[in-house]
Order: sequence, then structure tokens, then C-alpha cells
Amino acid sequence: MPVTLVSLDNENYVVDKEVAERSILIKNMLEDVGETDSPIPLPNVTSTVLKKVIEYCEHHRNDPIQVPDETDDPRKRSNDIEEWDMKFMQVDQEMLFEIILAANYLDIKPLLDVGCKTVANIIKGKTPEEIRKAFNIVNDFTPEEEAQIRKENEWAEDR
Amino acid sequence: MPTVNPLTLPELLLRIANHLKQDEIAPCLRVCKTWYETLLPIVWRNVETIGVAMGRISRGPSPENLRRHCDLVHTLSILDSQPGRYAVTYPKLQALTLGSRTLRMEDITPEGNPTHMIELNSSLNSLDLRRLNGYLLADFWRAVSELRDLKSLRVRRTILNDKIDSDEFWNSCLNLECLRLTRTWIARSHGTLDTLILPTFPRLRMLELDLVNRIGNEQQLELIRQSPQLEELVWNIIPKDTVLDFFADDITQGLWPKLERLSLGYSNPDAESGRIIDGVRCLTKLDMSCTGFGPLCFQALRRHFDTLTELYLRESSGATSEMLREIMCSCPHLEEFQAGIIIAKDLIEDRPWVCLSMKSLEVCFSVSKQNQDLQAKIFERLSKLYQLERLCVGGWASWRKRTAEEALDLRLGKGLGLLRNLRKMRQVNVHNTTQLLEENDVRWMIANWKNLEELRGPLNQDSAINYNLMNILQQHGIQTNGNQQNSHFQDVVLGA
Repeated sequence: MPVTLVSLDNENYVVDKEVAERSILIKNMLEDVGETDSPIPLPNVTSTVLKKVIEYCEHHRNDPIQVPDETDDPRKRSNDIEEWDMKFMQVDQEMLFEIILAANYLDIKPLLDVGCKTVANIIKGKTPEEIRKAFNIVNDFTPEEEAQIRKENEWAEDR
Repeated sequence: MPTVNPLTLPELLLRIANHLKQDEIAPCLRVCKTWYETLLPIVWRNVETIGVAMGRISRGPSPENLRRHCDLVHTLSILDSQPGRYAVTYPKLQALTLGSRTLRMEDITPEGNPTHMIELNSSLNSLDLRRLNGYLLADFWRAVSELRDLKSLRVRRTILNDKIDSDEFWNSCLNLECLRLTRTWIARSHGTLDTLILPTFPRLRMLELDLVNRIGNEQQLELIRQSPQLEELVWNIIPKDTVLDFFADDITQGLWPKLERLSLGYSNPDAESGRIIDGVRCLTKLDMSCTGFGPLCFQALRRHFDTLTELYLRESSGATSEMLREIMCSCPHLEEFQAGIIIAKDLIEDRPWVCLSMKSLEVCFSVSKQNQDLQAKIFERLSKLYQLERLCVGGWASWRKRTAEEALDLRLGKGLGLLRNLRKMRQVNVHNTTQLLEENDVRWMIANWKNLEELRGPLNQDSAINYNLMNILQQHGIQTNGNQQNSHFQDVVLGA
């Protein structure tokens, strides 16, 4: 049975139920309302992002559903991204952020994980200044504060 | 459309940090205030210090710095001959390791005494002590006895010379769930082991007695008998009497109904060990490294093929190639397997392997020089082990020097490319094998095994080529023989 998803800018997307249910948010909504033809509004997601998310869900429609929190193992390495996902994530940074936010809102944990891993890979090996530059973050420390933080936490960098 | 930057949301930042290691997170603290506040607790969650006396090695935060962040620390490892210098209350502290490299009498000072550290940290549930002889006296163990939540205690390379100290030591063990004693000498005590009044360990689920001294084998067996809830036993003794026969009798009578993980180290004879294996109701883990594992053990083990997940037969020459082959064709849940040599040519007509959940395989597949196409056939079998994270092609056989040249050749020209899909591969070890890897082989590994962390062992007989290959690997953050992984640093410095 197909489901209709409506983006923020009122675009309609018709997808198979099993594709839509990759999103736990949508899955729960469908379970709550039961059999319905009425479209599901997603007021936090624009059409460009929703298209991208649907592309992901289509590709992963047959993946086994993840056991909750199974992947929260801190030892999990961030460069373990499947080839298709890696290509899928080759987008500009604004889109990367939009995908992460949408995955978070729609509760699509595997997609959220891939997004977070991609960001983690960008962070690796960078200095604080390079990280700020990469993500457009404003430095709100005084030089003294920054030096103090460095001094207290140097032991953890120097491993 | 202007959007929220997800990197300013603590919840998402924490998710991202999940994929970074401590040394990768630490520089992030200086990015901005939100990052600092969000990530500081992660950086300080697990702290390791190495502050060996005499100003030799000093790593980790200073005692003063640690004190300022004490409310963030969950696990703390202090390697210092003056552990008392770190004695403050760490409100969230759960696991504490205290140890020193060598502790000489002149290092021992009242300020260095760790007893107060224990008294201040009643939240502890796990304690690991090594080489702290002079400090671990009766007072120390009395403080340990007061730790209401203590579930796990490990003592390594320690000598308890005085009977009063060992009395208090045993007292502190009564409510434990896990007790591990490694190369530790414990004086015969007054009240417990010497007399008929034995303590019981009603909650003990894991017990390790690894070359414990001064306590005879029979007394060790008594200790085990007093632990009826055991799920795991590691018992390494030098058998010189009939104690294993008694143990086999007990096990057959069902004295430890929950026991399912068993390690029996050193040269235990096949017959007794076989009876022990036969007596266990259901085995998931068996370690019989450096033992007389032989046909009787193997016969008994067959009953456990369906449940085994871990099997260790290092340096056990009685475990023949035929046995190892049958194990790989019969144990569907086996995830870790360490053993000697499998003769590859016998393997070809064999049934397929069923151990498809294998994560760690340390077996030497011996391919004779005359029959090189066997190589590809072994690679083909290996390529089905999609869960494989660790591969050690030299295996663990005492006669391995002789087979170095017959071990699997990890070159693309020999079929390495078939292992393309082993995406989880993290560690590869080629020790005790003769390899002739070239740059393209190593670059293939880097490109195809994205999770590769270690490639150890001599990669090429030619030392110049070997050096070049190690450099390439290190440039990609992969550990080789040329550098030590930091997390193992303590073990290297201090001995296990």
C-alpha cells in the first residue's frame, strides 16, 4: 500500500509503505491512525531533503531493522561506511546538515548514523581552527580560556 | 532556507563523538563553548595515568588537574608507585586500576599508600591491582571489604606474605561476583584455607586462578567447590597430583550447574581433561592452550559443537589438522578460534565451513610449495567469513618455524583479492610466516579494508621493502611492528 508524504513546501511524494516505515516517526504515525489514505505532513522537511531521504530509504528498504542502540558502541569506527552510503553522502555541507536533521526528526537511525560518521570523518585530524573553518563555527573563547583548556586536556590529545 | 547547524545541538554532537576516539575528541574542546561543555565529560570519562617514579615516563593528567575534574571520571587507571597522591573522592568512579612497574621498598611512602583512596571511593564496583606488594596490607583489604558495591576484583603479580594480610584479603572477597588472581602469592591464612572453616563465595560467577602460589592444588579445588554459582572458571595449575580427577568427578556430579566457560591451562593430561569437558553441561568457551589436548578431549568436545563460541588451542600439539578441520565444519556459532596448523590439501574435499560468524581466526593454513593453487581455494573459503575482524595466518603451533614458508601468502597474485568483502577486518598478523608483500598488496589492503587498524609481522623478507611498507601503513594510521598501539602501552610497560 502506498503512502503519501507531504513536505514543508507542499510537494507530495507517493512511496511504498515499507519505504516510508524506515522512518520510525512515520511508522508510529501509521500505526496510530491505522489504515488511511490521508497524506502525512512533514512540516520540518523541505522537498529537496525529503527527496534525498526517500532515495536512501528506497535503497535500504530491505535492510533488517536495527535493534535500538545496538550501534552505540563507542568503539564503533567512523570510517565503516558502505560504498553506496558514502556516495550518497557526497553532498554539500548544507545538505549534509539537512540530512542529519531530517534523519533525527524522522527517526531514521541508520541514516543518522551515516551522517554522524561522515561529520566525524571530517573532524578527524583537524585542529580546532580548521574545525571551526570547516563548519563555520564562531570561536567564543578568549585566547586565555583556549590556552587553559588546552593545558588541562593536553594529556588526552597526546596519546 | 536558513537552518539550524546540527553541530550546535548537544544531542547530535554526542552522537558524532560516538564515532571518535578520546584523542580525536580532545582537540574539539577548544572549538567553542557549546562543544566544550558537551564533550568535556566524554574526554574525562576514562582516564589513564602513567606516572612512573624517577621521572621516567609521565603521561595523563597530573594529580591536581585530575582533582579539578574528579566529578567526571568513571574509570581511572593509575600507574604510579605513589597511587595515594591521587586520593580524592571521584563521585562517579566505578572502576579503578592501581599498579606500578616495579615497586621497591624505597618507593613506599605513607603518602603513596592507596588505602585512603579506597576509603574515599565507596562507589567502586571494580578494582584491579598489580605489583603493589608493599601497600596491600591488612588495612588496605579492610578498606576493600567496606566497598558495598564491589563486584569484581583482580590481583596480579602480587605477594601477600603475611597471614593476617591474606586473612583480610579473603574477607574482602566474600561478596564478589568476579575474582581473578594472576601470578599472585597468597600466604596460608589463619582462619580460612588452612583449617576446615572455608569461606563460601555465594555470588561468585567468574573465578580465575592463574598460577597462584602458596595455595596447593587441593586447596584451590576447595575454593572452586565453595563457588557454586560459577559460570566461568580459569584454572591454570601445574598438575602434579590427582586433583584434576577429583575436579572431573565434581563436575560430572553437577557441582557447578551454570558453568559454561572453562579455561584449563598448561600441560593437563588428555584423559582427565576429556572427563572434565564431558562433565560440563554446556560449553560456550573452552581454552586449552598449552595443554595435552588430544583425542579424548576432542571426543568429549564433539557434544559441545553446537554451543561453542570461543575455542583456544594455542600450542596444543595434540590438536591435529583433522580435528581443527572438523571443528570448522561443525561449530556454527564459533566466533573466536586459535589453534595450530590445518593442512590445506586435506581441506579441499571437506564439507564447507559452517562457522560463518567467525570474528577472530588464528590458524595456520599450511600450503605446500608444490601446490600453490590451494592458496586460492583457502582464500575462497575465507572470503565467506564476512564477520572476520582478526586474521592471524601464522597460527599458534609450537613447531611453526618449520612451516613459516608454507603459510598463506597474502599477495594479490596469490588470491588475496578474494578477501575484498571482509569489510570488518581490523587486525591482520603475519608473524611466523614468510611474506613477500609489495606496495600494491599493502595499498590494496588499505583501500579495501577500511577498518584496518593493525598489520603486524614481517611484511617482506627484504628489510628495505619491509620498512617502506611499514611507512605507508603508518601514514594511513595503521599500526605495524614499528609502532606500539597506545592502548596497549601500559601492558607493554608493565607486563600483563
